[in-house]
Amino acid sequence: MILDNIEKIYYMKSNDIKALNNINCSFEKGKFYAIMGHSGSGKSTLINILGLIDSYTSGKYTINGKDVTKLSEKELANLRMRNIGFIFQEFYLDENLKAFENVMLPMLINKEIKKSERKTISFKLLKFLGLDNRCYHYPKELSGGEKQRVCLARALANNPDFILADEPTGALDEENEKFVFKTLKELSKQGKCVIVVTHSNIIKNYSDIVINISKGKILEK
Amino acid sequence: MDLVTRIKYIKKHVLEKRNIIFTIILIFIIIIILCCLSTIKTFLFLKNFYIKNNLSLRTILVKNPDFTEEDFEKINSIDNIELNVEMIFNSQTTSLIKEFNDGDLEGKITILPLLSKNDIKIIDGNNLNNSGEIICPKKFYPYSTLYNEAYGEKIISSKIMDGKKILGKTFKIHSENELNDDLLVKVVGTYDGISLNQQLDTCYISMSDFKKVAFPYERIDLWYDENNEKHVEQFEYEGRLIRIDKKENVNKVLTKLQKMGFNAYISGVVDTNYYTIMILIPTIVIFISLLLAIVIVSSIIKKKILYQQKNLGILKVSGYTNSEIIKNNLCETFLIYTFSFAIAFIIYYSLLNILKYYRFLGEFTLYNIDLNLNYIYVSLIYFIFLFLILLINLKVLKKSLKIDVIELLKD
Ligand SMILES: Nc1ncnc2c1ncn2[C@@H]1O[C@H](COP(=O)(O)OP(=O)(O)OP(=O)(O)O)[C@@H](O)[C@H]1O
Ligand SMILES: [Mg+2]
Repeated sequence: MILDNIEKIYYMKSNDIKALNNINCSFEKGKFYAIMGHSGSGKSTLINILGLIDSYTSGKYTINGKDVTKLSEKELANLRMRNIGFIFQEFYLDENLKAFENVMLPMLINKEIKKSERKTISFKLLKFLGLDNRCYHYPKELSGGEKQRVCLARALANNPDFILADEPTGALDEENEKFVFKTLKELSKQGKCVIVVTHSNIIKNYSDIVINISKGKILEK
Repeated sequence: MDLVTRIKYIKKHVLEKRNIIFTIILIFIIIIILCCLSTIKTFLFLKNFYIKNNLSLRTILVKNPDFTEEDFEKINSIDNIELNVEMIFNSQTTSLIKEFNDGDLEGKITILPLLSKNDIKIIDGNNLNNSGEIICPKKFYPYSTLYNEAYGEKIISSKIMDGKKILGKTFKIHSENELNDDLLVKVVGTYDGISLNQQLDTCYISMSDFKKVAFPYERIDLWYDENNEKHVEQFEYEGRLIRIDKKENVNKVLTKLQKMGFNAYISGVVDTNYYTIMILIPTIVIFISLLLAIVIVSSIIKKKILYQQKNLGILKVSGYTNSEIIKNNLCETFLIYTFSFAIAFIIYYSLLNILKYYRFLGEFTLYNIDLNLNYIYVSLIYFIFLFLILLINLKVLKKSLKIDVIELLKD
């Protein structure tokens, strides 16, 4: 993932907000990145653009050698499905689906995973994250930490190269936080690119690279 | 996503509150539209019957007490006259038929003369060819109607028989003319009584047979002559029954007859406005409910999709393409709509059947009229509405899908 001069401006009635200003950086597979900064500095905006769920005003974003602006809606969706796993502070789980069904959701459109294997993979992932006995629960029957782990399992469903997380531990206690960071660390060791936005200082024990961001700009490392 | 997976996904989401409200409103709108169409169809049929197919509107009665051979010639000299017969053929006669007695029901038929073979449409057997033949209705109820205080006159629908079953049977018709014996007749055919809006007990015999059995006097209002202590004055039928070839010519012929000094008038009267209004009202209701339907359905679909925006976002984050999401959503709407239509149709159909229990509604006999909409029309309405709803759904959804994914999720 290479960001080249990325700019994001929110055009408001009264004044325009420059959420990102001249962002240049790249993210490699096999490494664990932490993005830190004050509230409102543009961390979420940055990671959303990286995860292809937000648009940017100008600049060039290249992912796996492809220029994002030149991709069609279908190709973008395909990239999201195969290459990107996203985890949110607010979880964004489908309330009508059980935990294992939420995890299956990204697999339903992945033709490389056989129909019969989807459920098995889903259960395996949930077990890996210590949720063997929560598979049949609906999101409203799960605790915050459990929901976040379901979210993580969903992000991993299609075995993506990039795992992006926006304050994944914001609503969790220390124990759950450590568990999430540890798991992400393991994944980065397996060759995935992990990018985490966080306010938590213990991230420094896990991450390879810390990117500090302030007022939409990357500070010196 | 394959169809089974898709339906499973939809099944998990279909019971949301918005969908249930959507279903109820759809059912309501569809019932209103089906009922209005039924009403329009019925009154179009009636209008057709009373105005287009109605022979009495083409019939002029000439009533002169002293009708001469010369008068007869005069009438025949007028153009556009299709039929010029004696006034007795403007009457009808009834006869009890004991062969049709069925428990408490007394066999009884009404008999009319067949003025022209084209007046009826034969369904089974043949038209009248010889003396001693009779034609019965296809839907035949040869009984005097029961009188019941609660229901008024009532037909027992299970006793309506298929006229075909009695083809070849013979029975005697009572002659009201003292000079003649009862007439033995044989059933040779059945006719379509529904499009003529005839009573279900009306049979046709030839003109010559009719003359033998009909009461030979015109029934005039009774008056009581106290001096002579006498009740009734009876005249033989006087005057002529004239039928004009086309409705457009009726007034022309009528004026001519009146100018010649005849006491002539058109046999049938019809209130055209009545039918026009009865068709216009449901048409207006349909248009209003269609407009309302579009507005209501649009706003419900908008709300529904707004409500589902978070789920749309989740799907998009998971890598679903817009077309995949559209397919999902349209499929859901299709299922909800089809379900609503089925329920609406069942309710509508039940309403019709309840209505059928009541024999009389205004002027016409409900038994003679098929209120049901043709299945082709019903499926046409189904598809038109389906198309409309899917179109609205697609438009609203496409607008939502243009929003950045993160904004969908934040909703
Ligand atoms: N939809 C939006 N419309 C207008 N301005 C926005 C929008 N989203 C974010 N912003 C603005 O962009 C700037 C960066 O926001 P962003 O959410 O990226 O901050 P953040 O670093 O994630 O903060 P936090 O740590 O509080 O989550 C902020 O000033 C914010 O007000
Ligand atoms: Mg943020």
